[in-house]
Amino acid sequence: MNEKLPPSGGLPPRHLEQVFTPPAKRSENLQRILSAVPPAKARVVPAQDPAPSVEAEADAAPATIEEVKTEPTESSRPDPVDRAAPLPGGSDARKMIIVYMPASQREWLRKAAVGSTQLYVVLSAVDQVERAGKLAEAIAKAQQPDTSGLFVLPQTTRGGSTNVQVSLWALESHIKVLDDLVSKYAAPSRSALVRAALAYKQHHRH
Amino acid sequence: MDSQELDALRSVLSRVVAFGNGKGGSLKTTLSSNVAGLAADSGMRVLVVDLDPQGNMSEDLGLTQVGQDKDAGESLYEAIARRKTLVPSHPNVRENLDLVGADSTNTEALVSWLQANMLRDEDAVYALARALQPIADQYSLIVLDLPPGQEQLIRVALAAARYLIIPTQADISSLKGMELMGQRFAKARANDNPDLELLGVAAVCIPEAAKVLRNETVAAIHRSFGGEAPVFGTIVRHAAVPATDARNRGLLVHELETFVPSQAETFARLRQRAAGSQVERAVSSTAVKLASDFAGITEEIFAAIAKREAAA
Repeated sequence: MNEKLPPSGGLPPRHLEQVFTPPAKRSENLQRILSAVPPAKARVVPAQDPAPSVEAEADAAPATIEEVKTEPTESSRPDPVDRAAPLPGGSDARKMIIVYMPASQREWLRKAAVGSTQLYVVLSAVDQVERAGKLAEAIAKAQQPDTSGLFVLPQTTRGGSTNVQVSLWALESHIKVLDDLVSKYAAPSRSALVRAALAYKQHHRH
Repeated sequence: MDSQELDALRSVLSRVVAFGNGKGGSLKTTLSSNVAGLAADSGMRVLVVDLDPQGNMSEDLGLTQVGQDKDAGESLYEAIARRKTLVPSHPNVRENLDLVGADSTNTEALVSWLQANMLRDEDAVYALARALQPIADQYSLIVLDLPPGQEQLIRVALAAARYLIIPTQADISSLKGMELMGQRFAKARANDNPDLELLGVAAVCIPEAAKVLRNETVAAIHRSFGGEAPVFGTIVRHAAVPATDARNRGLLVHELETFVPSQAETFARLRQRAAGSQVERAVSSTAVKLASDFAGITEEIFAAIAKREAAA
């Protein structure tokens, strides 16, 4: 038997390495399943200020100070809805601001905002009191110390420790107007300005 | 906050996923860290917020050296209680992965702050949502690791989250913890966050061979939810050795599996041991299977989110 042993045919190579080897990257499929950018992010900054209509405000507010708006300059001033609209160029982003006010005022604000928004009620109050030329007076009144008790209690920036926080999502243009008014009337803070305007509106319902 | 303001907040926080179970040791930190790590590895920017005072997330991500987890939890406290910008306590713990860590001292202080403020200000329940809002657009995914207790922390987390995932083991205590979390979920949806969705229940830590136990656990989950519950198809197996190795070494499981020796290396080690050499224990090959489970459940989680986003 000088014949050479024929080579074994055997099974052809199948390159089965990948059967036993884990994928190169466990996370490789994830990129195909979920986009890296959440679709909701496109909706973060609304193109238009979704402030409710004037009619909605009229229906919602427990009272208005329409009767105070007697000054001739009224018609030349922008409506709060217009003022709340985005700035030209559409770059007016929303920011959260915090204002501090007494719990009772917050409750009033909440009720006034039914069917509307708290931001709208706040801006509307500031606008209307300013139109009436009473904002300086309202701020000064709000700063007067309480003399009804035994002690004259010192005023704090937040107007007292019993205040609660109210969060408002305002456009940058809203914030700029509020801050301009704070400077104009030397109000201690943005919260003090808002408190004064809301207090004036609360006490001049009729 | 009125509904319009909440809508604006929630649209920014559309990919916030909370992992919670009312019982400790239910693998929620391990699951959430591995899901976050895989997401970061895929190229997504991911933020992990550890709300558990035990701070085990830091260990899972390798911050176990002395001083590395120092001040963990302070940034979250400062962001919520003092309204400072939330800054990750440990940025880039992995590529694309930032961590807001936790520790017992700061978490205790945070819970006290929440207890005091949630009584007098109903908007305080959105404190975490507000803290996340300014930085949320930097991330594709935000993962919240909930504590088993600390009701106030769980409530603010569920008010900030878009999705909830409940991991549970097969034992009755874990299943009770799952039910407790389900009750918190229902309460959060009713009172604080109607957009919150139960993305799914993840059955974890069940041996692969225990087919009957696996089926019984899934049936028990369905029963607890009064019928059909969203249960992920991938069951994360019980694999004590690689799970322990991963945490002790500060590696995620898909990272650990790269250290599993090849067959040739295994034989070489056997020869060395036979020759009397001291050989360090090798990484268990089960790490590969466990990594496969975590990858599988992460894919399911991503698919579930993608499905909801497509339908929105």
